[in-house]
Amino acid sequence: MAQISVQDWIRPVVVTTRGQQRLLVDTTAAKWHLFAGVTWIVLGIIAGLIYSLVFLRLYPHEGTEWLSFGRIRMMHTNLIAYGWLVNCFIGMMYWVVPRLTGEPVFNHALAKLILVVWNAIVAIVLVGIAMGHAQAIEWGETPFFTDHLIVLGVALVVVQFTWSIARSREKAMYVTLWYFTAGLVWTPLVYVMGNYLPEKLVPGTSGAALVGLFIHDLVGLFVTPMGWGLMYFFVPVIAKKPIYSHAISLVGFWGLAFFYPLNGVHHFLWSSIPMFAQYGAVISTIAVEIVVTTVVINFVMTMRGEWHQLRESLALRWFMVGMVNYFITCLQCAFQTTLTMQKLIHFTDWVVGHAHLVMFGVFSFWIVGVIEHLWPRLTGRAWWSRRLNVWHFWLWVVGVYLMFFDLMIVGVIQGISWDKLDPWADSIFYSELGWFLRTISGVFITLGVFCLFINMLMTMIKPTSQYEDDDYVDQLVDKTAASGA
Amino acid sequence: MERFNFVFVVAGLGCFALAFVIQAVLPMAQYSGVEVVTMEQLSQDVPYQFEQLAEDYPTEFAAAFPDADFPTMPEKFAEALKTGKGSYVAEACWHCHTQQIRRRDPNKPNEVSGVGGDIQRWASDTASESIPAEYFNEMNYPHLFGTRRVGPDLFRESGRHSNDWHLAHFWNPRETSPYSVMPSYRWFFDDDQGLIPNKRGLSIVAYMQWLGSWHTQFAPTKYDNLPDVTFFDETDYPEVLIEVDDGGDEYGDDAYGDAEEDY
Repeated sequence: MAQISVQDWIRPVVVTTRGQQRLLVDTTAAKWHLFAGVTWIVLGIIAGLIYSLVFLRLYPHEGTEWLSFGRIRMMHTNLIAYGWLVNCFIGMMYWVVPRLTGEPVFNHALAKLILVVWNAIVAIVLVGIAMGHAQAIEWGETPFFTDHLIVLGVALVVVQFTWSIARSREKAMYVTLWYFTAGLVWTPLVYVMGNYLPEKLVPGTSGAALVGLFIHDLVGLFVTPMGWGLMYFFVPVIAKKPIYSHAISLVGFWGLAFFYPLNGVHHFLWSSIPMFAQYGAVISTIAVEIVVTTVVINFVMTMRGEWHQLRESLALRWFMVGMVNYFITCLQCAFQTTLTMQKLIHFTDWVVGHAHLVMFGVFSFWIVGVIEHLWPRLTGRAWWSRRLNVWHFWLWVVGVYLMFFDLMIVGVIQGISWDKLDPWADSIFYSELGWFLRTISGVFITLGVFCLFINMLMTMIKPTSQYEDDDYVDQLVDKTAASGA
Repeated sequence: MERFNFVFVVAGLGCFALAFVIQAVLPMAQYSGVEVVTMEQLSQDVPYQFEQLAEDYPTEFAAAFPDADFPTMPEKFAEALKTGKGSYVAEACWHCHTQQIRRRDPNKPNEVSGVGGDIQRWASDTASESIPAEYFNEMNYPHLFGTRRVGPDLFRESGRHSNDWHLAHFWNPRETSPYSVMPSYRWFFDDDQGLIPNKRGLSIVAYMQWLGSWHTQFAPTKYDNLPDVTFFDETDYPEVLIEVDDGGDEYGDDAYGDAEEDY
């Protein structure tokens, strides 16, 4: 076997599908995107923890305007959405997309630009919200003047990756790329629709229908396709087993594409938006839950006979716990979206618990699983401490279930208390224990994310041992030999 | 079905467009006849609480809204509404307070309490659930429906509490509502005792007192006699609103524009 240095296997130059000698995977960009993402989620989770204190009537920084609790809440969600999720998805696409297409991304210099521009945008958004320039759109509280920048940033990302996918001469387009392609088209459309139209053109109830679409589509048409795309790539790669059924993959993807965008209005059920839109949203939401369950089945069947791998592979453990959470979310959503159930749980903490199970218990878990797998391969160094990663896993698992079940119960209690017309104060009193437990779960989650951050940092700056991906080196040697280099 | 172009066009553009038409364009089309009330029209109807602020806090009011005289009152009120809504958005009030009283279950038109007790709890004497026409004005770019209700709904807040109650509440919510978890908003005041509201303080109170004021009958005040003030006349409202105001059969009219389908 030819001697291959760490640098070579981290940044290999290979022959593309168009027969050119190119650097295929920009691991530097991937690495820094992931690190930036994790830095933002540390801040985002601290923001969430501080925000939860308000419900315990603890006001540690009363009178500090820029740390007002409402602003902290918006920082929490925006840091998670635009700091953590977007950064990590971009970073992981640098790893995945060129591998599947055999073509590098548009431009490696553009990668550096995107890294700087996107994180500058997140910082500006943060400052903008702190200074009181938020926009009244849920998940889109980014100040209106930053919306233009975000559209620009998203456009750069779209060009960067769509280029690679569109130019590929690979005969088959793998499932991951269906999801990524669709996600790359949907994301800019969703963002422009949700942030510009209700702000300037469409007022009131009509605007609410649009904002409902935006809230939902940001999760459904940006986060979900990216997340599933990553799963379709990493689960087979790590478990060393092909995906169970191509047919189910097709059903899952096209079901998502068709039904998911139709769900928007279910965020405003019983509101003054026309009932036909509400009925449509409810029905397509139930449809979407059935469809995505098929995808979960696809992965569970892929893992059949391989469950013992969960003992060794932390990455697979993150993926599969996320998968279970996804199933719980789906099942819950199919029930909670009905107009009957909405009477009880709309406006309550139930929804907050649901949102955390999706964005945190599913997609953040998957992302952490991928980081678990990729970080040694991006830095060329073995994890600083495996034990810390295991701690992270259990802290987050305990944290997410404590939060989810706690908020679910509190939500039902609140709903009942409102419905039987108790004095408003009672719904606060009934929630106090639940809100306390929620903060405790936040402490678990915060400690967990510290484990991740410290571990990633120490892996970079204080390496204990080199990491070599044997399979990958072999593969590279083959390719290098084939190209005659 | 597994080619780049097909996924790009059909899944990416096609499915998105289909959903956009069904979930956004059709609702928009349904309300295309509802006129959007401009800021200028809105502010003609100055709630008495705003004038009361001018009387009770003369120095602070003059500092915040210089040259506020009765003919210019609507202008100042418009300014206060914009500033007030600005604070409402910036402080994420809308993440803990809703601005919608959910509609009645079409299958239970005679239910008094409404969905989740909404109507019995939040509706006022003169208005029931919130209807589209109430949102078609310049103060609703974007709308502030809200998705979480930690504190009370605010869509019929006007007149429920006095100005002073609101100011005390913003200074320290637990002074007026001992159970409240709401944080205090010290920066709505210029002193360290909560006695001198600044422009933001006066404006947020004005905004609170505006919410739902379109359903309130104001007692005549001395300003009503001023010849050059045209207070907002009932006929200035979009037609659908007036019908609800009449207190007649709400389900006979076409407040949603979709009466036939729903009721």
